[in-house]
Amino acid sequence: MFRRLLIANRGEIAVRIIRTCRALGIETVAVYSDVDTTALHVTAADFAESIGPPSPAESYLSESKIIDAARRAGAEAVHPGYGFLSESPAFAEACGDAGLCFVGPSPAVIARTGSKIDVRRLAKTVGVPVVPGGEPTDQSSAGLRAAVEDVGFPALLKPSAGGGGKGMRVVRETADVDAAIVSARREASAAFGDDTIYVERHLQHPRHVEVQVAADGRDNVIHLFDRECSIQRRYQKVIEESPAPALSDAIRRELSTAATTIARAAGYDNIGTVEFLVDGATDDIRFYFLEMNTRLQVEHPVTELVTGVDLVRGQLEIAAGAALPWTQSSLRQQGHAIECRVYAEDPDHDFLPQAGRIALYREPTGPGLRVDTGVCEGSDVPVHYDPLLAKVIAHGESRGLALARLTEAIRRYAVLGIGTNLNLLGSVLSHPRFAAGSVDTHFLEDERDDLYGPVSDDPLTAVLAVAATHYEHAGTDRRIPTTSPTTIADPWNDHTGWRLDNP
Amino acid sequence: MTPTSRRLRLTASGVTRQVDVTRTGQVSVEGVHEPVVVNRIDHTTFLAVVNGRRIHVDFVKGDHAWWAFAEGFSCVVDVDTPVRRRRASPTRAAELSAPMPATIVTVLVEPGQVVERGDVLVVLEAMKMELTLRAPNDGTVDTVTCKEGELAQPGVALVTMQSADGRRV
Repeated sequence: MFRRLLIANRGEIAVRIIRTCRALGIETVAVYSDVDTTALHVTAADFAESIGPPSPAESYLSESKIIDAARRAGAEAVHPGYGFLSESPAFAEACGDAGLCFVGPSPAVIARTGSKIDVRRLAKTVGVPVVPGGEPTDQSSAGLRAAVEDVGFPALLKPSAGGGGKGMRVVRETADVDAAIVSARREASAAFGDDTIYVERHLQHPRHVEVQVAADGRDNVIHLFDRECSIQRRYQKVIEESPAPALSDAIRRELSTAATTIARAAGYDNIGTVEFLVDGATDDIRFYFLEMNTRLQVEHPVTELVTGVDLVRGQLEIAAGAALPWTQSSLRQQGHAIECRVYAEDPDHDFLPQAGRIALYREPTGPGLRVDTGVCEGSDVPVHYDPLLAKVIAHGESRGLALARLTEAIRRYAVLGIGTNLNLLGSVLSHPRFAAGSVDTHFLEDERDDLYGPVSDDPLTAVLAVAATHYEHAGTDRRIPTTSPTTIADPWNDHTGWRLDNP
Repeated sequence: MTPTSRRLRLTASGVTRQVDVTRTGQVSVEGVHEPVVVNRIDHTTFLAVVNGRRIHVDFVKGDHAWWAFAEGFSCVVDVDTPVRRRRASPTRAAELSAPMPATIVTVLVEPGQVVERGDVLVVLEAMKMELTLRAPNDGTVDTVTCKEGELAQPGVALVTMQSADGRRV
């Protein structure tokens, strides 16, 4: 096993990887840009190396700076986390050239499965259905326009080189095609340095279901069951769960089989995820292969909580040359887990990312709860990076119990000083459609009016009263009457009918 | 003679109310029959008793605003004082500046151009996403002080407009 590992990432995932390393006795090296000098992931690591100015291109995306940092710190291996350089074959190759072990698949496998166009073709050859669409070799505007017309409307333009919703455009009619092509290409180029586009039919109300896979380069390929990620905004996932609710065991087995088939055909090694779109009503369910991700996913904790495995530990062991730490027959899905992503954003202004200092931070705790955070009180959230602050995951013996625990956890989660989506998460979890498990990727748009209400009367009054008292006493010598224990607990102040002796 | 009570107008979660606070700490919120009792527990934690219900409130100062958290809901609290009212700027939607550091990709308008509410005026790129600045009202573009390729800073006006009824936006 590695003695010292560099984590080429930041925020919650860097903290989470460090946690597993600590449990395995592996020394950790964090990297930080100029705006992250006091970030949580830096203080959590054993060592830290500065990697430059805030912009990702000059820091977290700089292969040379990361590798230099690893050399300076004496690290033997690099864990790329997710995003940033995690799916860059060039970076994986550069690590190898520098004598560093890249924790993930080999560069060849990353390249093969990272091209969405190539892996679509691969899926077709092994008989796995793909979303109807086209991978136009002619990438000119005329070529793409023809591909769109072949697929039919509504169509979806997608960048071959990346995900997270960037560069994706829905086209509903001929008049929109040209502008959509220009816009999609521009965003893809900015986000991934590659403006290759392919086209799919835009499914109207699909569910997003994915399967966790693992392989060890010794012909052992297994799956660790499914996850559903249907609550999304702009193709970015917000809430995920495992197992996928309201899908029959038969369909879930078919998905797992299709996933391992594709992984095997791709010669996969280490950990990855195979994503599918599921469409249609209960008696007529169809699934389509979407893409494969050659890295740890943000939502991996839901799989960890239902299977009891540590996926990062598995990644490290496989990368260090061991066989798969799990066998298919020994894995079980137990209970249900749901995850909410906490983002720094303003839901009232088109979810614009927020930046600023977190003035108050109080995490929820409780049975079956796990919080993976990259911030704490006093953290300065910078503008330059993805606005994911933390993830809250709840596990329970049933979906209902997991949901109840998660709802209460979100309710108790206080993050003040910047806008977050916590209010929205609370509304989603309480929405009857979510409780019934009958959601799809358009849920947030469809239920917009239900989900964005103001705070209810009594708490609002409480807030106004507290604020007024504070303003009243700010700048004066008069102190706000501090409470004595009797004032809080005094039953004479309670008008809710509390009785000492029940009749 | 010092006043026996002070009246404030506060806005939270889109709702504005008048609140009176007496020197003895009695708080009356507009529209609520019983006075609210507020106790301070520590530096940022308070306990309010509203209609007999005990509600914990976290109240803290952030970089640019006061924030509150109560019963699972968080919001910014604004005080509407006379001075603030005079200096009030138009609603955020009407500010035609970048909300965060962003690169200007396309400038779609020029001075004198007539636009309709919702028209895209400038396309920007930040954090790998496209952002658009849209006209908050029908009107005419007054000045355009941005160029494609430049980095725009938040709060610096990129486009100013005269709304159709003649007011400067």
